[in-house]
Amino acid sequence: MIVRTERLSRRYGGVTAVDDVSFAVERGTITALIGPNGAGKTTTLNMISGMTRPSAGRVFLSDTDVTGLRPDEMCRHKVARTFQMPQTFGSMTLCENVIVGSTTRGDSGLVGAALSLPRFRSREEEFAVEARALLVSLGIGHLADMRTSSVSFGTMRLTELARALASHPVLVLMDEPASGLSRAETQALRTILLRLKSEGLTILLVEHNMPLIMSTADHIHVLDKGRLIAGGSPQEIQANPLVQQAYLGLVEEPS
Amino acid sequence: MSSATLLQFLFSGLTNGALYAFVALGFAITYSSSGVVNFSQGQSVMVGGIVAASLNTDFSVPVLPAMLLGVAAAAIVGLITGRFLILPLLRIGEFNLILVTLGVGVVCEAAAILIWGTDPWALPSLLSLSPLRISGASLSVDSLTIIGMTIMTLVAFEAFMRFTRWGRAMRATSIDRTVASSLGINVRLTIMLSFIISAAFGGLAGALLTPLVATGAQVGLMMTMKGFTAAVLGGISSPVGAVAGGFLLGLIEAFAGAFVSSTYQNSIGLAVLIVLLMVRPEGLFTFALRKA
Amino acid sequence: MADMSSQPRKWLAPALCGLIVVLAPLLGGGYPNFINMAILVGIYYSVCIGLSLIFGIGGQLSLAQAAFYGIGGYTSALLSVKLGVPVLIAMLAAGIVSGIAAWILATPILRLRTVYLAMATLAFGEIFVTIVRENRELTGGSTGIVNLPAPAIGSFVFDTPFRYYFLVWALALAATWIARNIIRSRIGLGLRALADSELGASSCGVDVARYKSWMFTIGAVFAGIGGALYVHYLSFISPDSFSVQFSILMIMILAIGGRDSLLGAFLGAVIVTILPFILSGYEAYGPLIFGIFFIASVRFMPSGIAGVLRNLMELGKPIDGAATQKVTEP
Repeated sequence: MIVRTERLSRRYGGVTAVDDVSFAVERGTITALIGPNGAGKTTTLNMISGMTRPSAGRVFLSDTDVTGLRPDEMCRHKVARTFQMPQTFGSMTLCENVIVGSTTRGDSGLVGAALSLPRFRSREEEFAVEARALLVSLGIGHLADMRTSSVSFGTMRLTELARALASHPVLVLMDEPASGLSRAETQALRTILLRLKSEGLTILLVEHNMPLIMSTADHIHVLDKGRLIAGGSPQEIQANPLVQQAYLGLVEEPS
Repeated sequence: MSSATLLQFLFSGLTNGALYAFVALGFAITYSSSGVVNFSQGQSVMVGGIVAASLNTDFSVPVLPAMLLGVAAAAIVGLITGRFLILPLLRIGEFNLILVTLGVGVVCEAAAILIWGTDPWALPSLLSLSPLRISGASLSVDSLTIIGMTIMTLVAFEAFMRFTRWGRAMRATSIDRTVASSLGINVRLTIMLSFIISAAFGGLAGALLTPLVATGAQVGLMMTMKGFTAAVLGGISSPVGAVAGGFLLGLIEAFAGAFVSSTYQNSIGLAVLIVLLMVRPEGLFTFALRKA
Repeated sequence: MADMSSQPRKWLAPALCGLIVVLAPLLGGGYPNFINMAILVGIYYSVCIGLSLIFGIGGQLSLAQAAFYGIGGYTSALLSVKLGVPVLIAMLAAGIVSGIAAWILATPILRLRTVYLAMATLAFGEIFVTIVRENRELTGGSTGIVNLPAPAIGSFVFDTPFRYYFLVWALALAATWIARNIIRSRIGLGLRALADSELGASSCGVDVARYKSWMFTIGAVFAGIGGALYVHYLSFISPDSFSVQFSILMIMILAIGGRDSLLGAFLGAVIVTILPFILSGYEAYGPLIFGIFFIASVRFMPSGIAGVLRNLMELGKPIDGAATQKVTEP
């Protein structure tokens, strides 16, 4: 078990977005969090990644209580994430974006930076080289020096993923990584996700794209109206009448 | 401290409060309709006061018409700001809009110094009546005028918002610009109107203030800061809150001056701003801060 | 960019700058006011480097820079006049004291949103001036303090404009070097990331609050030393030089010159210094013209003159890598 939520809840005034959600993600798996719109999937992800404070409940990372930690602290705990709308840094190149991802590694001390000490400089160069390699491994190495605001949406998504990987995470949280991608791009994403899993990474993703989920996820948790209604393998979930009911009328077209 | 002195501080607090209330009202109006915090808001006070004083001193215009022309001058500055500097630039983002309004403030002050120099300009009283004496403290007629005008302006403005077509248009725009636009309201015109009105209010305050305290070309920035403090105190999107905040700030400063130190009276008012922003930026009287 | 590192070229730019600084007085000494203006440019430039870290790269609209400039100036003046501290050490102390003041102020105040931050720093600046004016015995009040000593190393005293020019520019070059190192490092990237997307930066491990505090503090240190340099140059200090109008002026300098580059800070400092000279006879119109220029810059040149120059240079470069994949809606 790499990450576990315990009775996680989030209330906004009178609205309960997430209600008493407890589930676990096993190490080295691709786990999906699915559910109709408004089910509370993104909110749950936000509470795990530190963006939102839970109203109740706890989040554990391998037995360490990480509830309420800030996103940058979670990153230090080797949890990285991508966003539904890519939060890339538009004014910087793809390579620079990825380098920022490595902030938690190595010495980010101010004095070393200010005085440009030799040891500091060589480490920085290493991170730059590594950033390029990450971009290459995701198929966008040739765009490394392009401004992020001028590349395609799919490339932005991949850049954000490369940036997340730059922190050498053990767990990556992804919020609708396939949304806005073409069929070809989604296939490429699937290949990448499976490759990352084979390299030992654990992935928790929120997704609407059913074919992608069915062919990629090892385990699926289903949320509806803030509550966990089912959990199991893709085959079990597909056959589950509760899940079908929740999705009634909201069947996703394969993209 | 004698009750007469205390009362005196109360009166000066209310007078200053009236001034702050006008500026705060201006902030509330422009922020509500356009989402812009106008860093040159206080300049309208300066323009109103200095134009009125200059017309009266240099051109022998009688006090009342001079004041009205001062208000008109301020309104024109508001018109130019709204039409040429805010409307076309609404898309450049909050950060840059702040810079633009800061620039407007700088230009106003620079122009004023060029035209009128840095010395303060005075106006004679509107009504030559002797001050009221209440329990040993004196309340000048000018003070009474400005305090009274604040209340009357607020009432008139609320009536305008409720009962006139333009007022309702402004209210709709302040709630949701896109929806207002789809209802056929000319949002651009409404925003321009909000800038004209808030500048006019500032000018009115400036004109009414100048018989009490001479207006100099450099008062604008301080007025902006005080007015903003008052607006934040009362909740920056609410006209009633803004006016209440203005009087509250005036009283806080007055009593700080009475019991703590009169040299640091001004600084205490500014310190209120800093503390307020850190503790409760939504203000004391309202509950929701509308996003720009 | 952090990953650019061609060894021989790395020393070219700094060496070139050093050369220009050394040669400039020889070339421009003919003009009557040249050394004086060059000193002022150096001081404004150094202070604006600090502000550019806070404002241009970090995206924080701080209007308190003049206050730190003043804290530095008064620290150095008081230490050297009242306690007889050697001026150069007093100047260093000025930077440290300003830095400490900024560090204390940073944590509570940098949490504030743009508009509120601007107002709060404005208020802080105004309060500073009032405190200075009202404490006559300590600071000389509104009239200030005169006869500040000149800096010296041993028996070598920087008491001529020519010598002071080298002192100022030696420090300005040092400030440039430090700022450049920070900007090119991952910390500099983190700062720019912060300005683009706080959410994204935070999820990468950028400690937003800490980065903002660091830059605010460094900016204040530069301002403090700049302030000390200024007052010892005039050998006179008064609160008039540290008003909030000066804070706004520095923002204008950066907006016109280019807020996110060191070149921009330099260009802005040059423009504001030579403007009265160009307008000779009409100097009174300077503030007005500069203000109008400022508004125009924000509207038409968001990256300032330096940004325009940068774009012109990039027009010559070929566009590599086509980013024309189509995006289909889900």
